[in-house]
Amino acid sequence: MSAPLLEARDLRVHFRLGRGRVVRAVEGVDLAVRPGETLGLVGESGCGKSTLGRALLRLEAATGGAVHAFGADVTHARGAALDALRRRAAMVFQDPYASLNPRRRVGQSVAEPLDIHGVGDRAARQAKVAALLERVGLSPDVATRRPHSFSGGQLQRIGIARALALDPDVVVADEPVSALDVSVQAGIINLMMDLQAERGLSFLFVAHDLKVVELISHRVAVMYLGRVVELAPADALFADPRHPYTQALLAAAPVPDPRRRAPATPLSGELPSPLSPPPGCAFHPRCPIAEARCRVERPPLESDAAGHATACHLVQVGNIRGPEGHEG
Amino acid sequence: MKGPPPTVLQVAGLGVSFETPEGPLRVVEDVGLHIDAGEAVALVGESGCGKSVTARALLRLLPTPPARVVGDALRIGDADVLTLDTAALRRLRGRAVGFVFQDPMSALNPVYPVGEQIAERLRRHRGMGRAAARARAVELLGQVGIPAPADRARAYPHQLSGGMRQRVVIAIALACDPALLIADEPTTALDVTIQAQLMALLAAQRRARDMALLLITHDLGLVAQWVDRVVVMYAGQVVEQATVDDLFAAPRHPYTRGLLRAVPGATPPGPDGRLWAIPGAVPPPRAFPASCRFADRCPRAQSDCRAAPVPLVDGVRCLHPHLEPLAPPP
Repeated sequence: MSAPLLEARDLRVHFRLGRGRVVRAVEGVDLAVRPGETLGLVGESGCGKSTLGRALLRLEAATGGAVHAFGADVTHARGAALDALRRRAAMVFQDPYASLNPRRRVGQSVAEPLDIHGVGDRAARQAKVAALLERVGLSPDVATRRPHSFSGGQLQRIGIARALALDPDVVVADEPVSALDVSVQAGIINLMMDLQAERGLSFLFVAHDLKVVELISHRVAVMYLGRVVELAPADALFADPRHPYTQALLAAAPVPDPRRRAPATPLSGELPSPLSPPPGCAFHPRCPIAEARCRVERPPLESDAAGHATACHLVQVGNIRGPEGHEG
Repeated sequence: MKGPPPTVLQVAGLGVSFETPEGPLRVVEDVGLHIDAGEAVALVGESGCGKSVTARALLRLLPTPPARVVGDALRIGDADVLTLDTAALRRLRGRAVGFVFQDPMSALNPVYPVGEQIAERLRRHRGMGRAAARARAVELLGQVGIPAPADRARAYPHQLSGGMRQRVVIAIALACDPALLIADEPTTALDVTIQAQLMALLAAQRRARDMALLLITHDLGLVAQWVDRVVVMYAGQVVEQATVDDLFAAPRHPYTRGLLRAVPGATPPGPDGRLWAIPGAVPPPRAFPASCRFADRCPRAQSDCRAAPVPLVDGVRCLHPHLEPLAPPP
């Protein structure tokens, strides 16, 4: 198997809030984005998925563990080594309105990475911007317009064009379609899938919409309170979710089919404060099948032979049927 | 013998415009709606379709000016909403109709404990005494699934999570046993497991109280799971209405069909596993054509679509509606 493009190794990202309070946003995560794949990263707000994505691009500093990029440890990289990371890995943000400078013409925003990294001369950059805009489905003429004159979907296309400016190998996309209407969202997802097919681009696709993740991802990681609780090939994860949290998450997502109305048995309780995560398995206070050991002993993320990894005491590796209440 | 259920909401020819320096902007036009007691109806559409403006217009919550609301009929229970004076309107909002908005903080007063905010509603609209209102507030907090309600009644909004705040808003909305609950994107800001809890709560309360629900949402998953009938809006107009089963099985308007096909998992994907997108964008209100407003994005549009306004006939505003069923999901 080829070496991962971006990799978290026992990565920790903590935020100090003062008065001794610490948010453990990412707490001991091992995760690798492989060449040519889309790795979906899902979980509810506050689970640490966005922080993890940003930390892999060195947009957040690691508190512990390491970030590797393209075979090198970049946890503390500076100068040329950090530039190299930023050339080969790019980011697409959730809010297309907030991620583009409202005072600049969008062509300038798309050209900015080229300017910063000194790529080509002025004419070459202009030609590149025109090609990028065209590739994401916009007319090159729009380069002279400012963000306010675009719709959300068009702005997200511009954000993608900017991310592609330096021909990266991997793009971290943080909720790239969750601010968009469904008919517009479909076009952006199609564009991302096309770009992957064309360029062999890899994506870390951070999202809370499971249906979108199922469609676009090759593998999926589920996070809960700073840790990965399940990691599996996408078809395996959706056909056979094993962690009780993954099962609850899938059951909670409303199915757009009135013939499949789900019985109303939602997961009880709320996400505990990441300031004071529960001991043992962090999910145990909400878990319908938790036992005594779940309250004291944290389950490690263990993989079966097929590469389906789960962090749960009650899902034995090799025991294909999950815990009771599991629906196939 | 039981007669047919009474109509809770009856709307015909509702229009909303806003005064602007460039002249009036008509954002909602010719909206019709009716909801019977105990029924759950969704008003669905994408951003800018006018669904939230419509919901606010129903209770005359839009500031006038700049808004101007017109209609052939707007009745909630026995009240003719368009002719009510301010006092009667306030009584209607407090008693007959409950309202839940997307952002619970906008509905709660940050400087009062949540129990008092419920009690205040009961004292004003039900004439309850201080102690009785307080006790009833705690009871309502319990009914909406807030643990340790007697303690939580003393909490301020900022001390509660987003999901708990929305439960408080629901408790306030239910306080006077409304016949109709209007919920505008009530779970959009919340996580999916919390969303499931709140939708189940709304459904249980609706059953227990025989209350009607108007759910304003963009989420077709919620529509499929939680309502009886659907009204689809596009560019300020109702383009289709049907029972939830009929709408998902055989959407007739090309917009509805496009919307349903664009939802991941709702229908088989297109060639190469691609999603079906709707080309183009919703026109801004300033540019609404007099003829079919979807024609420029519609694969079925013909010259007659661009010739004259298209009326809503038999639940669909389209001259060339689909008659065949939609392929079901795999």
